[in-house]
Amino acid sequence: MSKKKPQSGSRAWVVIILTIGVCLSPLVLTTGSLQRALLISLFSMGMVASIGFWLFFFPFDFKDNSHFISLPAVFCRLLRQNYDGKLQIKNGVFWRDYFSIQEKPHIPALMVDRNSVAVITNTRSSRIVLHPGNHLVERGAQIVHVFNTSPQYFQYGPGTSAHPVVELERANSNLRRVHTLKRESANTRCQTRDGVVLIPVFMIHYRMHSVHSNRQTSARLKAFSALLEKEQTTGNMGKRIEALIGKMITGQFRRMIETMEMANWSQGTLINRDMHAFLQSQISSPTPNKAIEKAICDLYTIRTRIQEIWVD
Amino acid sequence: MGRLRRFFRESARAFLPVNPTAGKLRTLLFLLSIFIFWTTIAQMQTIPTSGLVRFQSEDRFITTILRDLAVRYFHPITLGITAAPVLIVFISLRLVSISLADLARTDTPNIKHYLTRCAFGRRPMQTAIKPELTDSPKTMDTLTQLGGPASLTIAPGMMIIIQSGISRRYLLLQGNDTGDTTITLEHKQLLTAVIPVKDLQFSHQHDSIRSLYQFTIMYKNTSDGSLQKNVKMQPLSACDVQFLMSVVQSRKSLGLLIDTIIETFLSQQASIEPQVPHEERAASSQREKQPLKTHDNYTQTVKHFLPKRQGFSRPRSHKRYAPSMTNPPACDAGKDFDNVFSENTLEATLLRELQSFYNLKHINISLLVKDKSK
Repeated sequence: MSKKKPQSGSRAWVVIILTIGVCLSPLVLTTGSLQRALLISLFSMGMVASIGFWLFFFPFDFKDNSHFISLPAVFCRLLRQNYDGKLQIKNGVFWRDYFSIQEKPHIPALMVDRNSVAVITNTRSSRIVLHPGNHLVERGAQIVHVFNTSPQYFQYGPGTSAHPVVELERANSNLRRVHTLKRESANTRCQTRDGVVLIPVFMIHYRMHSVHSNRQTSARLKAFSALLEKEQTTGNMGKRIEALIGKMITGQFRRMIETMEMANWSQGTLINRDMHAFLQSQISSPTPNKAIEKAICDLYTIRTRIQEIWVD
Repeated sequence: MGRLRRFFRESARAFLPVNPTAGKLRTLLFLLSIFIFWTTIAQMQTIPTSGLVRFQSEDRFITTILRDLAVRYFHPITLGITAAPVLIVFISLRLVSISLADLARTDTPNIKHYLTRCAFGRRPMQTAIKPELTDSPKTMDTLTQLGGPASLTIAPGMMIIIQSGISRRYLLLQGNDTGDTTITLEHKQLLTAVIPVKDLQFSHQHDSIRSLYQFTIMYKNTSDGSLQKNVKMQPLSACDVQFLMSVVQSRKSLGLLIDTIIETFLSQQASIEPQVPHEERAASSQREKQPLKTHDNYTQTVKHFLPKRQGFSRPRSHKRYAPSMTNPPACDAGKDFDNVFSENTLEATLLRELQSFYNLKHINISLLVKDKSK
């Protein structure tokens, strides 16, 4: 038989009742009213002081001492609600339901791990970047975007080892597979001037510039967050960023391909070389057309490689 | 508000340092204040009617005083009120540890032990950092989420990264090569990562590249590091830490990036115009040894002012830099020149690309390229 572990919330309530009992004990133990009042106030002050005493040793990231004022509120909320690991951002992922809930619950404190950075908006509509560490979040503030800062890589395009068109014919019965293949192929599908359809597969590595140390990058991150919010995109941004980068690189590749003819390409290596050089120059160029692409170029270091080019 | 803040800061600095001496003093102070509180409460008892100790009623003076004192000091009310602050301190500890367990990602007893260790200067946690990590995950959780005070013993061939909780700066510590090294992890210093040195030696195993090259990434100490008590200390940036963590945690990611860089490099190399053969280069270097051309107009002027120096002319200065540009780089006697040239360039390209991608400043990476085809 497994023994059920008591919930931390219920244990907290037992401790709270015990505390109240201890603080009110002078009512029973003493006789004089003045003595009672003195002892009750003494015990209450002792309770607050001892909670403060223990909290001092906890490694909170106090950037501003004004947080001490909101600390009792934070403490009460932490006691009242059982968050079950919802107060932490790990590897750029926060509690997913938070972004879908209309009435956002107040997050009193937040732990951001080494590989993450969060952007929050406060009641004065200004954006604050939360760096790795423990933070106390002020009342009314909402988490808007969560980014992963560690180096990442992904494959953009159809993820098959065989030709996507052949694979599509094979996977006729499996509707989910057909849908995935069609969607992935459509993402990178492009056509040359002489009408040949190419489906490239990109391997993309990207990493965010050092937001931990650079103030300028933090400002760029705020601007990027504002841009994303305009497009009504909030939440964990990992997959969304990958889609944006993939779309940007495919767009650049498409622009290059549209001006070329397949008949002029003699060797595969030559095609590859030209494309590598072109894509890398496009990514490192400072003035992409769209604002969101410019923001991505400013914020991320990107390395790309064409893994496969399927010719239809 | 500013004064209040300063007062809080100064009082915290004065009364709440975390070290064994301060902890013992705090324990003593706590006991002393409880004793004072007990005596005060006892003296405040006006009419002790009943108590735990009961004396027979006698008229002797000393017996009366003793009875009075005993009844006052061991009265249930006195004892109850005296026990209340002790209860308050330990109940608040339990309250804090329950409420912060979620935030610190450890369980309640872990936080309770950590806080009592900090407050009352109990013996610090002792941990051995070895290649085969034998410590319990609980200990590592405490060290990574809550930090010191702790005593760490680093085995040879191990490195640790610690982070200051206040300044948020990283420090890489490497123990002595010959034996175990003991260091102290201070309060609000978190253990970020434990890295075995051999994990930084990286071998890329892609089929297409394995036949040609083998790569080794090694970590080197830079000049801004310091040596304290046989421990090599070096400050690291957040990017350096991320790079080290990505190497240790996911080698696949770095392997794929190296693969990308090499393929790009090889495709660029194939597109470059064929290199000048060695014989031609040697011939061109021979050409540079011929006497330099001179300015004739300068000869005429010199003849006019210095009649003794007939036939002197100044050599063309711009020619002096030409040999250094055209001479081939030095190569080993037994090695093919072209091979060395391409290896050096590949190494430089890899280093440059990795440094630019990971934004590395303080870490040197040495890539040992070995030709396996030999």
